[in-house]
Amino acid sequence: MDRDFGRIVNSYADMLLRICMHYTKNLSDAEDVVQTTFLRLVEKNIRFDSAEHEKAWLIRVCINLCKDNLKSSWKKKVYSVHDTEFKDQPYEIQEDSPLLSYIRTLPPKQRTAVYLFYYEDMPISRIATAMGANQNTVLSWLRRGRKVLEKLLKEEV
Amino acid sequence: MFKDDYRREVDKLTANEKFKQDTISLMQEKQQQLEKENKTAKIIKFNPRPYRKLAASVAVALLAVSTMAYTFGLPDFLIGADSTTETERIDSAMEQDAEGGDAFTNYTADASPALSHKENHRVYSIDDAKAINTAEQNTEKSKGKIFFDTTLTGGFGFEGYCFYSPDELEQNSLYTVGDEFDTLPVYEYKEQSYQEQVKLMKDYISKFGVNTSQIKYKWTRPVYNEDGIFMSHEDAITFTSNIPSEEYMLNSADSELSITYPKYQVLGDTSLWAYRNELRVSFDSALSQTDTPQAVYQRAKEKYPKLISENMDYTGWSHYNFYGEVSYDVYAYEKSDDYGQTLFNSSVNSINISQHERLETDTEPTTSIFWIQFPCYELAEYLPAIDYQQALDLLFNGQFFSSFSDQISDDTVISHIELTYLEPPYSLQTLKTEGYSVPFYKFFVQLPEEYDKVTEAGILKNYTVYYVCAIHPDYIQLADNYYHFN
Repeated sequence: MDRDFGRIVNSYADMLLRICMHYTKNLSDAEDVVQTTFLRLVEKNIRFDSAEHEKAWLIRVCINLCKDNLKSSWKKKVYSVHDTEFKDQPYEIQEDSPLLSYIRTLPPKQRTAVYLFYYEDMPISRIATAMGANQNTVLSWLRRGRKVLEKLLKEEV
Repeated sequence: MFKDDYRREVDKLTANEKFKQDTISLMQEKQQQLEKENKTAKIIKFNPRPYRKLAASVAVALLAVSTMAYTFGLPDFLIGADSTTETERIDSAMEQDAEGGDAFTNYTADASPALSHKENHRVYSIDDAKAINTAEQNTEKSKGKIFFDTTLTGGFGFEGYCFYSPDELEQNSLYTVGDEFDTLPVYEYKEQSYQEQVKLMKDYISKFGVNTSQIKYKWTRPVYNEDGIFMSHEDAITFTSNIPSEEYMLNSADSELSITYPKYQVLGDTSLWAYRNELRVSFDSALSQTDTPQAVYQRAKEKYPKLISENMDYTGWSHYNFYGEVSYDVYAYEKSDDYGQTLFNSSVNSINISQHERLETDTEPTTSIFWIQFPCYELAEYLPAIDYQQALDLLFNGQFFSSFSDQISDDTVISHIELTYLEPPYSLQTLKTEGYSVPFYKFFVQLPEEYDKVTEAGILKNYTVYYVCAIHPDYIQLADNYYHFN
């Protein structure tokens, strides 16, 4: 099988890294997850019907691997639901943007839904497929995320 | 404004060239490695020891192996392959037991006799199972069977890891290991007319106490190009005066009532995503704040007695977000005297009362959304079913499908079995949405303790699931990607 790995990596690396950065704590973890996602593609040798299918598969596998990464984080750290340090851990890429810092306060699923909707311009139906949720759940995440962000932004003003 | 600001900030997060080149190199190395290993078979194993309910039937399972080999025409060489290696691994596991290092200690209190699992360990090759399944499909015998496709894009492809409370898993199970039945019903999807669809929606809306005569609705018919390829926007009936669109759908989430009936959608320029006809009614109603699933169900029943009737029952699931905050999903379904019909109703024909995730910032009562997915099925026929032990044998032989992306490891356990109905794939590159809803055994494989999720409400166990068709193989044909890992 000869696959154009260059095309695949150049097409999706940025997107996957951004998704990971919405899930994981730091750039190092994010890069690990992105590389594992691409390696999973090589291992599984899946033929895709279309570019959209390829993209959806990569997003879904990437999100699953991000969850794995979080699980290992839970293991490494005695997890407490009130652990604010874990919640507010900054990315290694230092950003001064209050908007991104507010987004990081959202639960990971809401963060990812916000990213796919507002940045990737993905239709809700495809976000639902990629995230393994029904469309109403995705709408719920977006709605909740927007409300929290609106409140935080108003408070800042 | 938000969108522009957000995009500008996210644009700063990019993968650098070195990272991309390193990744490409890794992929090439991986491919070369795989080409070297090429035909290496994946190994599936089963350890019944920690599963209490299975333990008592160990001897019967052994008998079932030989029976199934005869019944399903499986060649003998599949059974017991690589037994030497397996024995060595079990010995190693037993040593761990002695040292108290077994991850499953908590689940062995009333398990089978300590040594009995040794002779029940079997190792099979997925590649062998594939060859058999393919051979079966090519025979004349396969003609006329009901066909069930497990296409990767059919909605099962990425189920992945699932967190459950073991108690909830037991409480919500309608199937008990040992339930007896010779046949199970199979249901066929039925396309409905426009008039039937509108009537169905109005019936459901009225059950919420909404006067349907005051609601406008719009019907958008599909548009095809000269090659017969579907080209229009989402084809939907929506009970508003707006044209359905993604933006509309987002805004509609802020309204109390949102009803859509999606059928087809275009993905990109060339890809088509075909949906079945199914009714989705979202109805926001603040039912409760921190109630249990039982309380959520009772309040819904009191508030909408026409929707949640006396003849209904429910299953309830807790969901925990990243911070351990809990919300509930309640599935209300109609009970039936027929065992299979009740299973079908609970799996497919249910009303989902879904609560929003609660956040620390929440000051308002949690909102509940009623989500009615009402696929249109008719009873096709009752077909001979297999029992769970026969299903286990098929599982051992690789006759399953799962979205779990890793191989089953040495310390795999099956900790729970369900019987559930799956719907036919509906996201195909065609406009066809027909198919059968078929019963499947759902085997829950518990991952090691290190995958547990600790929450305020207790420990959630992490599972991956494997599906084995519950209809006898003589009566059903499964797609050649039955054993597909993604």
